[in-house]
Amino acid sequence: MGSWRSGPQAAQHRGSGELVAAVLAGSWRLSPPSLALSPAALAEVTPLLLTAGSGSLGWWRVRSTELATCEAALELRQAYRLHTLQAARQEQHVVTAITVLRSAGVEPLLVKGWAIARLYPERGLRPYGDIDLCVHPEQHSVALEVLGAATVDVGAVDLHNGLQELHRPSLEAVYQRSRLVPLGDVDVRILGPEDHLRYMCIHMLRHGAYRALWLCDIAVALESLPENFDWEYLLRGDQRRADWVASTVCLAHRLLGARLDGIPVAERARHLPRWLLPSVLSQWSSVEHYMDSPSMAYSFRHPAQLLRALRQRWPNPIQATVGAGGPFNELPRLPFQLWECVLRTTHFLTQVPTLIRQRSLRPVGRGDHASVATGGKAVERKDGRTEG
Amino acid sequence: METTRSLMPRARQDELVVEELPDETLVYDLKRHKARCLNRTAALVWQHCDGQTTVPELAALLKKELDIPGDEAVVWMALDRLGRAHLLSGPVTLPADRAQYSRREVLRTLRRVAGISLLLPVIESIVAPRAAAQASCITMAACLAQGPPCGNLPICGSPGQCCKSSKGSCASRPC
Repeated sequence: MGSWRSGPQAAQHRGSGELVAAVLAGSWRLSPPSLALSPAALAEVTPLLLTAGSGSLGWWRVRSTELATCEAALELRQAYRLHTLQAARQEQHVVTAITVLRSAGVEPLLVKGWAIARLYPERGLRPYGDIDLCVHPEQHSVALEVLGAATVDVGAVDLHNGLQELHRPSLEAVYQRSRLVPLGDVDVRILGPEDHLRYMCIHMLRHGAYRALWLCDIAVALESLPENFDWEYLLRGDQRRADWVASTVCLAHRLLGARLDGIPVAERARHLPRWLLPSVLSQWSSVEHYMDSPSMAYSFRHPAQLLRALRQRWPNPIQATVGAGGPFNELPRLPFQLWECVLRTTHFLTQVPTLIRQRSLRPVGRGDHASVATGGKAVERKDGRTEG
Repeated sequence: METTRSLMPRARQDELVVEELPDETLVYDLKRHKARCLNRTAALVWQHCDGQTTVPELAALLKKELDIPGDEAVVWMALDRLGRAHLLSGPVTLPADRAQYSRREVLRTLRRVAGISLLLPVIESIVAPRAAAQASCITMAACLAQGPPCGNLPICGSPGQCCKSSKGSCASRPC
C-alpha cells in the first residue's frame, strides 16, 4: 500500500501497477501508440483495468492489435460496450438533472464525469457512475429538495455544497471562469480549464490516486488545454497545494506519457519525491480499495470482515500527506500515515453515537455521502472528509 | 423456398437506449435492464422493422448492403432472435414451415460465401464485471446489467441493499 511495504511482494505489486500504466499510456488518444504486451500479461492486468473503470480504455488500446481477439481483450470489449451505453444513459440524466435544478433557479456546475468524458475520443471511454453537481451553499438545500421531489429520473446525483476542494477564495470567481458547453438541448456549466485541472488533481490525491482512470483524466485535460490556459491561475494560492497540482501533472507525464511540451511545471517531473511513483503503482496493482467496500460501521457488525476493512483503510502515503496538508518532499511518510489514522479514527468515533441512534449501519463505501433519495433515484450530499 | 409477403414487425422503440458503433449496434433495455449487442446483420434487420418493409425486401437489402445472399432464411433468423431479445413491439410469427428457417438452413445458404460467422445475425448479451466501479453507489439498473462478480456496492437510494451475486447474475440483496 505504499512506501512502508518492501521486499518481493512490493515489487510484484509495483509490477502489476506498471502493467496498468503500460496499457493505459496514451490510451486516451484517438490513435493510441502501439503496445508490446503478451496475452498473458494482458490477462493479468485485465481485472485491474475492469475494477478501476479503465476497461474501455484498455480495449481502445488493444483493439487494433493482435491482442484484440484474445479472451482478456474480449472482456475489455464488453466493458467498452457497456460503458458506451451507460454514457448515453448518463447524458440523459445530466440533461434532466440540470433542467430540474434550473427550473428552481439553481445554476449547477458539473465537475468530473461528463465534463471530462467529453474530451475523450468516444464518450464510453470514460465511465462515470454518478453525476457530480456543485451548487452555491445558499442554494444547496433548495437543490436537494428539488432533486428529491423530481418526478423524472435524474440518475445518481452527487450534490456538492460548494467546491471546498479547490481552495479558491470565492466560489463566485469559480463561477465567473466557468463555461457553458452544449449537451443535447441544454448548455451544461462546467469549470474553467484551470479550475477543472486543479480540481481533478486534488481530488485524485485526496483519494490516494488509487484509480488509474483519474490520471488518464489529467492526461486528457493536459493534451486538450486551450491556448490561453492560465498556468499562473492554476497554481495560484497556497504553494503547497500548487506543488501537489504540479506533481500530479508530472505524474501523468511520467506514468502515462502525457505530453508536457512547453508546460511551465514540467521541470517538477525531474524532482518528484521517491515515494510518489511507487505509491501510485502500488495502488493501481490492487483490486480492493476501501472506497468500493462496505463502511467501517458495517464491518463492525460483521467482525469477520473487520481486519480486512482495517487493512484497506491504512492510508497510502499520498492520501496521508494530502489529508494532513503535508509537503511532497523526501521525508518519511509514516508520521503522516499515523496522523491520518488518528484523524480517521476520531472522525469515525464521533459518528458512532449517531450510527447507534439511527441503527443505520448500512454499508456505504464513502462515508461523506448521505443518500436522501426516494423512488429509485439517489441524491447525495458531500460534506468534505472521507470516511475513517 | 416459398416467398412470404408478410410485413415485418415493428422495432420496439420505448425504454431503449441505442448506440450505433461502426460495426455493431448497442441496445440497453431500460425495462429489463439488459444490454445487448447486435452485429451488422441483426442491426440492419432491426432498423428496418417498420411495419412496412416485407421480408423479401429486406432480404434484398441484406444482399445490397452486406452482400449476404438474398435469402429470406437469414431475415427470419434475425427476426426470431430479435423477438427473443424483446426488441420487437410484437411477436414474430414464423411461417408454418418453421424448419426451413432453421440455423442449419441459414448456414447451408451462407456456406457459399466467405466470412460466414460475420454474416449470421447475432445478438449478444453484454456483461462486464464491476461496470460501475467509479461510483460510491451503484444504480439498480447498472447492478442488474452487469455480471458477477457484482462488486457488493450499495444500491443508490436503497439503504441496506447491495449489488450482490445471485444465481449467476447480479441483483439487489441485503448487505
